[in-house]
Amino acid sequence: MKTPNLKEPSGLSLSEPRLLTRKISFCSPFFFYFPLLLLGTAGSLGCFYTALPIPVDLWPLAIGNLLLAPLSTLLFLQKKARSLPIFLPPLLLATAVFLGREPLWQGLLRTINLVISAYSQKSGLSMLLIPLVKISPQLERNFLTVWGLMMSFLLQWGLGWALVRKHSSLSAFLLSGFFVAVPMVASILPHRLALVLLLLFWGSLLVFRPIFHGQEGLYRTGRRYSASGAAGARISALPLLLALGLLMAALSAVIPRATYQRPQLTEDLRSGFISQGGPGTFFRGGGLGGSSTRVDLIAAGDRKYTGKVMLRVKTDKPVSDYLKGFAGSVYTGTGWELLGEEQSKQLGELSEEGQAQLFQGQLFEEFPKIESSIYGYYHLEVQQVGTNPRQVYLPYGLAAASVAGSSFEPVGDSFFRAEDRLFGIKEYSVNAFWEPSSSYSSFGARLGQSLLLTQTAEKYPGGLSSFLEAAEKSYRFFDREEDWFPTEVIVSYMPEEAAALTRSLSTYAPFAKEAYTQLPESTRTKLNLYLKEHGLLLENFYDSADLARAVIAQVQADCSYTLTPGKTPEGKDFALYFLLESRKGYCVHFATAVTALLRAAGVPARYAEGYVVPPGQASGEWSTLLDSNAHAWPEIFLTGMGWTPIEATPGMDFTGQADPSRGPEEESTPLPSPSPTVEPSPSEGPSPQPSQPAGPTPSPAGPSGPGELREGMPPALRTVLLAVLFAAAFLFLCGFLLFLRRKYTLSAREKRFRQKDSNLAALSLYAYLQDLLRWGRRFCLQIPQEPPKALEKLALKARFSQHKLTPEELALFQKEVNSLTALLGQKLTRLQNWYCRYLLALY
Amino acid sequence: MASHRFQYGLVLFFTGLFYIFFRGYLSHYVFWLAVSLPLFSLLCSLPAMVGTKVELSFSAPKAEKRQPLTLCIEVKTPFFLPGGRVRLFLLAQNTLTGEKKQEVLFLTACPGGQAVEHSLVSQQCGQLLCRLEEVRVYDYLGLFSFRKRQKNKSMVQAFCFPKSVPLSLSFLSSPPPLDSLEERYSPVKSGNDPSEVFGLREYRQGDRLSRIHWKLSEKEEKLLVKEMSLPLSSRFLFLLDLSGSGTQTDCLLEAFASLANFLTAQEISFWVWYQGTGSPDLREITESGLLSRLWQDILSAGPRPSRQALLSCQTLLPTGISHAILLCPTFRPEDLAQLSALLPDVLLTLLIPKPQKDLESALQHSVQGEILPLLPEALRGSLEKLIL
Repeated sequence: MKTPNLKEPSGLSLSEPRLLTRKISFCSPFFFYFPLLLLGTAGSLGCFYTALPIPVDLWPLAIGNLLLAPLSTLLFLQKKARSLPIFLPPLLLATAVFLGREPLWQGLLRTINLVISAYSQKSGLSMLLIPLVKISPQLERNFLTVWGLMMSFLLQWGLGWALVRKHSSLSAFLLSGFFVAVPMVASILPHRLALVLLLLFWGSLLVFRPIFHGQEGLYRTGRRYSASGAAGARISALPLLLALGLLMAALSAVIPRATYQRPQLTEDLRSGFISQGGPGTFFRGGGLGGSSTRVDLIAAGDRKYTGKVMLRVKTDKPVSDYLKGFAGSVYTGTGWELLGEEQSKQLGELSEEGQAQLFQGQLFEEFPKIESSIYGYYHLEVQQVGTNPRQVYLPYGLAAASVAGSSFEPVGDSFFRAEDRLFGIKEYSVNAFWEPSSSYSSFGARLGQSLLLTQTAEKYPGGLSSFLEAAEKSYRFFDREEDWFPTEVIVSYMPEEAAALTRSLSTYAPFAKEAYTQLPESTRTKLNLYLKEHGLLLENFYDSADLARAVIAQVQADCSYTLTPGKTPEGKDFALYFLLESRKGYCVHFATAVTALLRAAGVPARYAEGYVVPPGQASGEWSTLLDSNAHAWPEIFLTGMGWTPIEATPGMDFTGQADPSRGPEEESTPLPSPSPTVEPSPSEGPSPQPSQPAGPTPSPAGPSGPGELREGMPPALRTVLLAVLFAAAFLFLCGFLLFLRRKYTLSAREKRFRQKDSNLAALSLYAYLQDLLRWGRRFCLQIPQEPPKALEKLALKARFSQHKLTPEELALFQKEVNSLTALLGQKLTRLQNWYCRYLLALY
Repeated sequence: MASHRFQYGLVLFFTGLFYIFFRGYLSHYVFWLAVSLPLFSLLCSLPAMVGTKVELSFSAPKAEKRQPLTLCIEVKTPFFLPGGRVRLFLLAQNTLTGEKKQEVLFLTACPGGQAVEHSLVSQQCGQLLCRLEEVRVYDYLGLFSFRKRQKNKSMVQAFCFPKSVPLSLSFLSSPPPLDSLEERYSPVKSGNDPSEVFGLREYRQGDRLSRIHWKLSEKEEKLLVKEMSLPLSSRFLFLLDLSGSGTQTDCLLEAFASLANFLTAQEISFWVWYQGTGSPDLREITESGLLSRLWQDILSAGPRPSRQALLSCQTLLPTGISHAILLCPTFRPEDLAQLSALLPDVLLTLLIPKPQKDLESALQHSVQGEILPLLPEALRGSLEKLIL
């Protein structure tokens, strides 16, 4: 098919569609809407009155509703609103309100009081009631019934307007929902039957959606036309309501109430949302100390701290502590990542998951020292304030018992995270060991200094001397002393736990040496040159710890500390760029460079991130860790210590103890270990920080509520004030709604007058002209009865002729309309004008 | 529909939240009710969805150009329950000009049916085709949908005929000579050719005695007169080039309609050759019935690809043609050369809508015949210059 020439005027025109409405009997849509209205009212008001202890006479209410429902349906089914004015009921209402104002008013106030009483009873709080004169129960019942009838009327009218006239299921839902929301906000459940009726009504709103698809007519959006589905509102559609009822019955049979048990998952979700943190916690994390799966070193540019509170800790440890949140195993040149799949599998075959992280604690526990100085054993509590609760920050030397059965989940042999991946963990506590004096980097040294040596040697055949001889002989199987582990023969004489630990260590150590000395080849070559240049080779040092100290000293001598080093250029290796080119950076740079150098030297090392607890926190008080406490450091694997942190950043020493004599090399930029903010514990008083106490706290006494007495105002005056406010609000709302309605009607009318099809526009104008004349005549006889003959002819031409009216012809209609509205404005009285403008929205 | 799915998603989300935060059987029940609603909606609306029928119809099968045609679209379902929404993708096109209009309609399938009507007006002649490219039915909640297969009722056509200007007899240079060797005779009109009897009628005063059929008259006991036949001579050939734009083709067809109607009214037969999208067609038009059928075929033919040559040496054209009238949107020398080769010694007339002046004068020298520019706004005046 040839594409038509776009420069040519369009030859084919398809007019806007016109909806053809078939004449159907009045009964069919009546018997469709009437049951729905009745259902909606019964459900809503039923929920309201069965939930709240409001004594009403049911029969008058029921009869009233049965009469009101068909009336409301009839009212809104009228095609032409003005033949039976929609505002007649409000006028009747206004009349009823005026004549029965006292019972209505009393009924309203007493209903409010009963609602407040129900809330008070449910919540256990005392709430102020509207002071009312005491009357007999029967009289009160009458008042409440009268008010109930009024509410029924309003609800019926509202539902009728929403469903029958506007075909808006959302409006109907909101109207009906209000009455069930009143008791449900206080968890006061209505009667089952009322709930069923209401659910059936709401279900029908959903299922009858194609019918409740907007007002009568055709709506246009661009080149899409949507017709209202009112044609489907017939009695034959009602079986769908029955089917919905059957579905509900079937559902209650399939999930019976008697055997209902709330699923644990739902309960966990609920408690998780309420206690552990809301959805906002999902967006926390990232940045220094906040990584969970990888660290992007290229993004590590200049650092700024905001002083945001990240953690609150309470610890017994007198010296500084490293709380590790993440450890990077694989160095890519641009970042640190977790172990690959193959190595993870290998690790899984070697040991239990997470065991490698507990080596240090287990060594301290199973190899008690000969010396009287004991291992430090301390308790640490952590509250996560600004961090991602799915991550956990744990110290080194964890006691295995702290972790067993806890809500921590190991990530390989690197670090731990919260077991609850959805909500995380907001608060936790652990126990851990630490060594106040020098540590033993090799297993042999640790064994040699522990009580275990004597215990094992005593059991060994031949005694201590044979034991030592055997141990001596086995040394030759290892390149270095620090790699030595006792033979299985020796191990078999160790206590069971110590033997198991020794075996685990001996199998894990070679894996660590292989996996955690990984580097990209190009990086390794250059780092080896650096190491050679500075004599930093393992054979030149006693052990790995010694080498590590030397490497750190060298790096600190070559590079300077700054928080504004800038980003590493793309394509460059992060560690090499820092060591050989920029020579300035902060903890991330120093940690990465030292880790990479140690790996190149053959020492198993990893990059770790987390938070540093500064020294002097063992006051038993809660202290705050800010974002400036986030830190990065290397950790190395020593056979006698397990994974141990070392400090690479200038200003801190190897053992993790603060060294005030060694400050930063250059600028006075702060190190990531500012002085802590010591606070009282939460039990002592209100804390300025957003602390999360362990248990639920009762809601605090808030600001004075709406019911609270103000001193000096008499109760009667207050009641009057409330009533006046309520009336004013009601009037304002009515006025606002009328204003909106007028605005909408005028705008829709204007749109019809300006439509592209001049014939349809002329017909709309002519119809409007006739309306103006008809209403004008009712108020003023001076208004002509008929439109001008010339316009009548043009209207006939527009209706039946194939020709389109010209703009000049169309303008004649507009001119006539304008002059007529001006005439009406002049001739009608103010009240009549107001009535035409705002109630009829005529002009 | 995406908005309905989003809304249902919201319903599910809020009932889910209610289920999580409200401890009680009610929240459990409400949640599962919300979950089961889509299936319920689908099952209940399926019969109506499957039974949904969409019908298209035109108010009349034909109209003149610029005359509105009413297109009615009705959706209904035989099932007693109403169906969900139905989305219709309507395409209206003029197959001759290639122009299309599209529209999307949303209606509700209900037992009584729901109908909309459009007014379709074409400024150019052609075949107006309206069809439903897609009919998609939805369930009550608007979550599920499927396409309904289209049948014949989903496409309708109507013809938009060109307007014919009345032409006066005066421009016909001379009445067509009777060719005694011609063996074709008019089936509707009598003439003077004694070789063929047209029919018999009763004697009227003034009839020639030599025309009386004495034998039959004796038999019938009344005087019967022989009517002689009118021999037909198709000397005119119209060649229609349908490769132009909508306006050009419309102008040419209007000119052809005027000429064809005039010749048919004069009972002068003629030939028509045209080619649209398919293969060329050659017809002899001897009466108005044939002309009506010809129009339907021309309007349905569609535009000829302009890059193709109009004629080739294999093109079959009738013999005995004295005047060939080529109606073409633009002049192509190769077409003219081919036509001259196929019909030597034939008077050629080119009817071209609004040709350029310099082209017109250039052609005058090269063409054996005449060029008549056609002005759509003054078509009668343009055609009056034609001499047949």
